[in-house]
Amino acid sequence: MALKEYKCPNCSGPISFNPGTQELTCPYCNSIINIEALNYMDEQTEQTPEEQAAIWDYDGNSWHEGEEHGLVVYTCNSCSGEIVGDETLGAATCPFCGSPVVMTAKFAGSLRPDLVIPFKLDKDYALSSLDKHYAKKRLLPDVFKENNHLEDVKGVYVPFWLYDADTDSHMEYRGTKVRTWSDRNYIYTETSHFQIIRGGALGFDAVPADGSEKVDDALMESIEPYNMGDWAGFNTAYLAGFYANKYDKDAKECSPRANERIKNTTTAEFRKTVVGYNSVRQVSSNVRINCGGVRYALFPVWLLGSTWEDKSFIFAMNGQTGKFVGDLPLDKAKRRRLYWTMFGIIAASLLAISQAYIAFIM
Amino acid sequence: MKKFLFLSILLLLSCLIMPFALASDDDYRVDRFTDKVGLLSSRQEAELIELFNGISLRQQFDVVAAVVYSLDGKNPRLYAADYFEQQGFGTLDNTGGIILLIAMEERDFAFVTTGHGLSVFTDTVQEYLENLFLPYLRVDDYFAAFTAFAEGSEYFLEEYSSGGSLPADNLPIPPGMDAPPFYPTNPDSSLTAEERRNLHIGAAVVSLVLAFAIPGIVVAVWTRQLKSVRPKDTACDYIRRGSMSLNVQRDIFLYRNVRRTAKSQNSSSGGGSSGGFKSSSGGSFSGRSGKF
Repeated sequence: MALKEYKCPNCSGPISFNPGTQELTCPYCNSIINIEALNYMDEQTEQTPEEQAAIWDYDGNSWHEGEEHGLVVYTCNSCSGEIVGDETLGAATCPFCGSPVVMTAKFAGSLRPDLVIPFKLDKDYALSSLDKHYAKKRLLPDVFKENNHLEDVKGVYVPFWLYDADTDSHMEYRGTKVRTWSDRNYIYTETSHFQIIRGGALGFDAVPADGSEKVDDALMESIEPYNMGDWAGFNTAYLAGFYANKYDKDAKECSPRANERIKNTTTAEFRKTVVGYNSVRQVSSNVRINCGGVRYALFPVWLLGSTWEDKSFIFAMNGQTGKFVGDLPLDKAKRRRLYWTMFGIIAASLLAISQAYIAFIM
Repeated sequence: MKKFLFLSILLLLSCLIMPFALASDDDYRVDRFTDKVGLLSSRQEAELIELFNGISLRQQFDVVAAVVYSLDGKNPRLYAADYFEQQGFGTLDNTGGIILLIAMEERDFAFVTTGHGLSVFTDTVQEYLENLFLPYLRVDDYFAAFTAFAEGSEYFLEEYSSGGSLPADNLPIPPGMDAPPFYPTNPDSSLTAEERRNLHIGAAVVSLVLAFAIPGIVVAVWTRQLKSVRPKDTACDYIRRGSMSLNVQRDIFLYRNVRRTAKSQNSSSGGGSSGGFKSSSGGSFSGRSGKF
């Protein structure tokens, strides 16, 4: 399997993409390398005939049937260490020498993403966001903050499918308008009933759906939206220093979720056009979604993993906007204690004030 | 002899002047009981006049009753209030008064009070008073009805003055009622002891409910803060700008219906009303009315 490893043209050290400068940087000699220049150098290198050396072959044990299913073994170009990953792994860091590697074959041909949103925020920002995420959470267990050790902080390019769509809709509602008046003896209430029909079109651009089985869909939807104005044409150089996965759910498989979101939004937008009624009830909704194209994209996500009391907690941060989410554990004993403390204070205060006030006014 | 003659003349003059002197503040208006229809005998009428006048002078508060044939199309309470003012009642030390008026044409009754009576005859007391005389009116025992009204009015006037310490032994208990309402010990307050007790209990209950609810809401908000992963069921962020177009926009009227609800009418005997109101001259009154 072909591995793409980016090396510094100055010192040959492994280089990675820097979200701050949007260029590749060398951590050893501090060189800043332009992505386009590096690509040009790569092309020149590929045209140079490779040296040939003797090849010692080894006919060792082979994988038992089914054992290697889903596993792919890569050899690091820097240290020759073996990197074992699943078949969707597209970019990683060598566990032996720390070199960032990109499995270019995972993004070759029809698997090549149409676009990528590069990381804009780095690991330090993700860690400081985690601290902010813990702040002002009164029911978060104190020991979770104090003893919690992050097991993993990874910058991951998550595969997304982006759906463009145009909708034609026909909605029908029943609405009522109420008018009241009175005379000396009676109050009159007149209710007028209306049939309300709305029809029209609404377009959507780049509705995202998570194309990775491994990443929780709700987690990914929680860190939306991404600013599509910052997208760039795909270049494997953006992946250097980060993890990346190839999609394992295809566009067809993910489309029901996108359709559902488009339909919900269309229904809500047309409902907003029905105004001036005291009550409105939707009778029918017909939303035809016309496919306007699908694009394959990689979006930047910082994933932070932690375990506490045998439960795992995954936090995610939008690598472009910094939106941070992740469910936190609840300290039930603390909640009980705070509830009854507040109850005691409020009950005593209100009783004292109300009884004193009644005595005062009588 | 001259001395004896002088004393005799003085005594005679005193006897002649005394009744006028005693009645000097009371003899310029019509009687406090008037029967224009002739429901009662002359003897009963005289007894009632004496009863109403006696109570009024004792309490320095006009307690009045009248029988008329027709209300001339007026609201019963307004008619009673206007009658009270037009006859010049309510001027005893400017303390106001109370009147029970019945109109035989459609068997209406109304009793209204003003001045000091607005404090004495609270809604509860008015209801109690009504239950005292109304059963007699319904069986055409008018003498008993007016007597019950007069004695009931005096009882509550004294009860109010004494700060609620008067025993209720002499007051008849009307059907459906446990005991006369008592006034609080503080004469400035319009609440009875039972109402005060209920107010204290109510305030305590409300305080406890709030004490349960407020921390519950606060804790629920704090718990919710811990959860930030939520599926996004809409795609509002991805609507193409300016792409919304409404080709069909029709609002078709189908039908209408009208519901008629009678306004609430408060009366224990049907068709009457209660509460505060203004007389034709603008005086403040409170009272009840209905049919008997």
